[in-house]
Amino acid sequence: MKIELKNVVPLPLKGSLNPQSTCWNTDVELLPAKKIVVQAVSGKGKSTFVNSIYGIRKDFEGEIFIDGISTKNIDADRWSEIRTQHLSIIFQDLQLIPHLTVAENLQLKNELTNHKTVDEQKAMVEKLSLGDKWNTACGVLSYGQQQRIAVVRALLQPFDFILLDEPFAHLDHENAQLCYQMVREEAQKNNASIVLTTLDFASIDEFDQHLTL
Amino acid sequence: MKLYQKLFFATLNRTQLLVAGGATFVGFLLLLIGANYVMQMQNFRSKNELLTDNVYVVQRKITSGGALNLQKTNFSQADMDYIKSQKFIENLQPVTTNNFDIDFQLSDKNMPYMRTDIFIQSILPEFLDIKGIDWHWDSTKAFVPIIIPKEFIVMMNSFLSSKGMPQISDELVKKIHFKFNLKDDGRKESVECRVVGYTSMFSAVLVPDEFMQYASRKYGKEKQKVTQLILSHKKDGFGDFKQFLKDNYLETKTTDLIMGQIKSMTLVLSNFVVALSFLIILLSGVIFSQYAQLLIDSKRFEIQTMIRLGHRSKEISTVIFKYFVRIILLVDAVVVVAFFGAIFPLNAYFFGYGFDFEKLFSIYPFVFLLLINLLLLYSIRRKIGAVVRLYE
Repeated sequence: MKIELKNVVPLPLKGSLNPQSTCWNTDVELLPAKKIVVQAVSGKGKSTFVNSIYGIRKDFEGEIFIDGISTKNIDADRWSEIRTQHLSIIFQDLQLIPHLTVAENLQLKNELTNHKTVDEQKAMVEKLSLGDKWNTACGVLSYGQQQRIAVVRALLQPFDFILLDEPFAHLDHENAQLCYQMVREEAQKNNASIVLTTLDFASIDEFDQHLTL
Repeated sequence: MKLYQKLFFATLNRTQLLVAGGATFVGFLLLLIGANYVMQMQNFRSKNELLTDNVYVVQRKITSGGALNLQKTNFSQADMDYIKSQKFIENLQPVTTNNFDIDFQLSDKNMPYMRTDIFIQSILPEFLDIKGIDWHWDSTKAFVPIIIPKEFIVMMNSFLSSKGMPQISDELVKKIHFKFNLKDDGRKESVECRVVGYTSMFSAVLVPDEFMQYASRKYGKEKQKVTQLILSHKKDGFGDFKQFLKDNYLETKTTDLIMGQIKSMTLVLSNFVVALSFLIILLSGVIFSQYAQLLIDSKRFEIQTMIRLGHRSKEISTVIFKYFVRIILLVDAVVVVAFFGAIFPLNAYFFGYGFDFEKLFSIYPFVFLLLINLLLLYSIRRKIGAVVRLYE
C-alpha cells in the first residue's frame, strides 16, 4: 500500500502553517515498512494529519492518495476494506464503547477480520497487565487502561500502515514500552509501517523517516 | 448480532420506548377500528339500497302553492329544468306512468288465477343499484323484467293464504310466471314478465323504459304526464335538498327522508372518524418518528466508532432498521389482537342499533395499516441513512 500527500493544507491551519513543515503544502510519501515519526508541538495538526489519512477528515486542500486514488474519491465500501485490511489506527480519543466490556470492544473489531483468536486476544490483554479486566466495561477503566485496550484493538487486523496518534500519552514508561513493543512486533509480522505522532523527542533516533508539521 | 444488540439497544430509555410504542398502538388501533367501520358503513349503505345513493322519488304535495305553479300535479319541462339547475342536484329523471290500460296476471299453471289492474312506471337503469340485472327490454326478449313494491308480496301472500295455498318467499316470487295484458278498444296483447327485484320507494310496478315506450306508442290514449321525478343530490347536498323540497312544496316518502338524514349523518360521522383517525395516526407517527430520531441521535458515537473500525454503513443501518421493524411488527401484532378482541363486542353493539354488517370486518383498514407501516419505516430508514452517511 502506498500513501502520498500532495500539497495538503488543512483548512483550519491555513495561514498559520509552519514554513519548515515537511508534511503540509508539499509532496511527501509515507515510506513502506518503515518507522515514521511525525513531530509537532501542540496545535499544529497531528490528529488532523492522522485523521485525514484515515479518511475521517476531508477539510483540506490538496490531495491524499492511497494506492494512487484520492481519499476524496474512495467510496464507503472501499474505506471499510482499507480500514480492516490495510490501515490500522489508535485514535487519540481511543473510540472505545464505554458500556461494552473489554472483550466486546475487541470483538467489535476482530469479528470483521478474524485476525486473532479469543485466546490470542486474552494473551495480549494479559501481557499489558489487564487480564482481570476482560469482562469489565471499558467506561470504568482508567484512561491509561483504556489506551492499552485501544492498542490491542488496533492490532486485531492485518495492516500495511498503523497510525498512532499520541498513543502513549497517559501511560507510564514501562507500559508505554510494552505497548510500543507489541505494535512493533505486529508491524514486523505484517511488514508494515508505523506512523507515530508525538510531542516527545526522546527516542526519535529509532525512526527511519522524520516528518515535521 | 447479540453484540450489536448490546451496542445499540442495551442503554435505551425504556420509558421513551413505551411512550412511543403506546402512542403507535393507539394510533394504529384507532385507524383499524375507525377505517373498518367506515368501510362497513359504506357496504351497509349500498347493500340496503335498490336505488343508488342519495336518490329520491319526488312528487308535488296535493295541497300546494308557491314557486312552481303547484296547482297542477304534473311537472312541465320548465319545472324540471329549474330543479335540475340547482347546484346540489346531481341528476333528474322524470318517472313515466302508463297512459294505457294494463293489467297484471298470474300465469303460472301451479298458481291460482289472479288478475288485477295496475299502473306501471319506468325507470332508467342508471338509477338502479341491483347487480346482475339486464334492465332492458325489446320485443325479442322472452319476458319483461319488473321490480315490484315489497307490499305486493304481502298482498300476494294474503291472497294465496285465502286460497289455502302456502305462502311464498321473495326468491320464489322471482320464479313465478306473470304476464301483462295490454289493451285498447278492440286490441289485446299479453307479454310475459318476471320479478327481478323489489322496491320500497315506489308504489307502482317498475318496468324498463323501452317497454313503457313500446306500450305507450301502441296503446297510449293521451300524452304522457310526468307526475313524479327521480332526483339524486350531491353527496354533501342533503341539507339543501331537503330545504328545497320544503320551499317548493314537493314531497317524498318521510321514511326516505329520515333514511337520507341517517345516511347523511353517517357520512358526516364517518368522515369525522376518518379525519380523527388520520390525525391520531399522524400524531403517533410523529411521536414514533421522534423516538426513532432520538434513538439514532443518541447512538451517533457508536455508529461513528463502528464505521471507523471498518464496519459497513449498510450493515449498521440494517441492524438499527431491523430494531424498528421489530418494534412496529410487535405493535402491529398487539393491535391486530386488540382489534379482533374489540370487533365482536363492537359489532354486537352496532347490531343492537340495527347495523347488521355483511362481513365481520373489512380488509381495507389492514391495507391502510400496511401503507402507514411502510411510510413510517421508509421515514425511519431515511433518518438512519442520513446519520450513518455523516460518518462515512
